[in-house]
Amino acid sequence: MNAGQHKPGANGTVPSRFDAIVVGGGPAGLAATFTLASAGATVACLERGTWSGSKNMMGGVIYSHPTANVFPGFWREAPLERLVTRRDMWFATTDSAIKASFESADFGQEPFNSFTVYRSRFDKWLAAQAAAAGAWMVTETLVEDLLQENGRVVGIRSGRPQGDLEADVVIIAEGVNPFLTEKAGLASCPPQAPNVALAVKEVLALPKEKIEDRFDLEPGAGAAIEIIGEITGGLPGTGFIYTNQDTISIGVGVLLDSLVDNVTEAYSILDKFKQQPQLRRLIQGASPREYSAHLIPEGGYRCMPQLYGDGVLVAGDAAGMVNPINSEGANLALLSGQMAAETVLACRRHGSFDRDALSLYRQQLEKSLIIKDLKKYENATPFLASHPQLFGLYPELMATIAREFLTVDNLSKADKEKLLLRLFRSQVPARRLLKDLFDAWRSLT
Amino acid sequence: MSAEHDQENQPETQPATVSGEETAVPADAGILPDPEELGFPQPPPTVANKLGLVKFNLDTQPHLSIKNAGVCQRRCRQKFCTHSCPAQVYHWESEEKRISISYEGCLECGTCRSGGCPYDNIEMRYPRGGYGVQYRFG
Ligand SMILES: Cc1cc2nc3c(=O)[nH]c(=O)nc-3n(C[C@H](O)[C@H](O)[C@H](O)COP(=O)(O)OP(=O)(O)OC[C@H]3O[C@@H](n4cnc5c(N)ncnc54)[C@H](O)[C@@H]3O)c2cc1C
Ligand code: SF4
Ligand code: SF4
Repeated sequence: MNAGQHKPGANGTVPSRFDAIVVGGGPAGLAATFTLASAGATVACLERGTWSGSKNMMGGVIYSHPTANVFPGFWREAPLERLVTRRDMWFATTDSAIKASFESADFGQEPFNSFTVYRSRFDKWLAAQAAAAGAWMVTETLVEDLLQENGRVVGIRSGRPQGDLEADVVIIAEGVNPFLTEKAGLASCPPQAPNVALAVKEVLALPKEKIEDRFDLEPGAGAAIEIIGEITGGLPGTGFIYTNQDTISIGVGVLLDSLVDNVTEAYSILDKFKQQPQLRRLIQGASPREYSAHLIPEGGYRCMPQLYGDGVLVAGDAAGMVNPINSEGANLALLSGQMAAETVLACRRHGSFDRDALSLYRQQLEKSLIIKDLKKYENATPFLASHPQLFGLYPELMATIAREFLTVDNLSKADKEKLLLRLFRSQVPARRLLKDLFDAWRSLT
Repeated sequence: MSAEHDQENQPETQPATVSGEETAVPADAGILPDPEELGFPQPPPTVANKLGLVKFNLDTQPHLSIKNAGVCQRRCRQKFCTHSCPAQVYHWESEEKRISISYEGCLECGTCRSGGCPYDNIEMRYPRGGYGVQYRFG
């Protein structure tokens, strides 16, 4: 097997044995690879895409704090689109929207809060950092299986001729479709519709100045808008619209279960979403540049696989590490990848990579925000799935209330109040509303 | 679909590349005047239109298959995959009574193996290394 790795002294051939092998060059895999290589371990990262990032898509907000934890001062060099200075939340129906907006001066100061990115470019930059730290970056290589001996993972089998590589430990960072995690017998939930959301996204080109005008932004600053309500066709899901330098990322993510039950297409929901009048105004005249689709793991803590086994660790989306409430997974991927690498480095000192030694990874995760948050939101996805009124009826009622109060006609405010209360009661019995609020509070906060 | 299929350039015979090398992210091609802005309402783009914007490195080997055609014929009335797949890879051929698969446009999302077919009747793998979708933005 060859690699175009230009390492001093390397003859261009990838060695067949490593301290560690990382499967997948996304945020989890690249954080692990970079951390290992920086500490002097010999590590190979295998990525099936032509470059790291070529297979990857997300809404596009990367959080500064966790990223800088692994790649200090990344914002000085990484390909970033806009510095996010405003985060909005919209409750939207098909024709109206209640908008909540949050801006903070902190967002604009080092170490910043978040940036919009294109994963195709951002991941590529992360991979270049890992390569510079001395890792073997092997792209265009699909890992097809794990090599196992007596139940212990000892390496990987790739699709290339002579594609077997051995290592003390394999870190699986393969993303949301856990083919290898399943093969290693570590998966705990079958790949099923209740455990994933399907997201579709479009990148729409619009001149910089228009973006800054329409979104009311300083030059170079960005907005990230999350949208819930009837606009996902009343199905449990969210929409988003993020600003890049000269494009807008717009998309929806909906629980796959409800898409299948309702025989609805994700792209039809996105098409309708783009027609919502308040959204339409933002993207008017923008020309489509790319369409993409990706799953989001929504199983949360319930579906977290075994995180470690003999000679193997699992990180990032493959380990179900996405907070189902805000779908922010890249930060958890980066942190878990880094922790997996630190575990390997600690085990290296003792020379043991069996289950017991590697269980340190789980202990570290338990102490971190990752497992705490996943546990906290354990019931969020089942809750959202079983309460469609949160995505249809309630936003609709909120919009009706806002509309009535803000419309000046010949009804007195007191009469309006009575009217609304009657309308509200007819739609939602008080007991049910209280129960929903209580359940929401328990599962979502 | 701006498909690239170059026999000479198969990843199989080509050395793996180091990430960080120049990629196919093109210089912005300029913004075409939008008919919508000129006042003509437009129908939403079809999925084929959407896929036309996506770059693929086409494999000659399909990576998707139906496990049991009988299940599609007799058990599955809704033909769920024709709706759940975000790239409309699956079509019900009503004359031939079978699902046809346009694997070339697959976005490799995994929906069809994760409940997008409730009968778990689709065998989905990733294309070989270097083949398949290549997002420029992602
Ligand atoms: C629509 C959408 C919006 C999102 N928005 C945000 C957001 O705004 N902020 C945020 O923080 N998170 C967001 N996320 C979540 C985030 O994208 C993921 O949590 C994150 O990418 C997980 O990183 P990862 O490294 O675990 O997996 P991935 O990024 O999926 O990386 C896995 C890598 O492994 C490679 N691979 C897989 N299998 C193999 C194999 N067998 N052999 C070789 N290579 C393989 C893949 O090609 C890929 O490069 C969003 C997700 C979606 C779908
Ligand atoms: S959803 Fe599954 S069973 Fe139904 S037609 Fe498609 S592949 Fe066949
Ligand atoms: S992986 Fe996704 S895009 Fe490809 S066929 Fe399956 S559902 Fe369609």
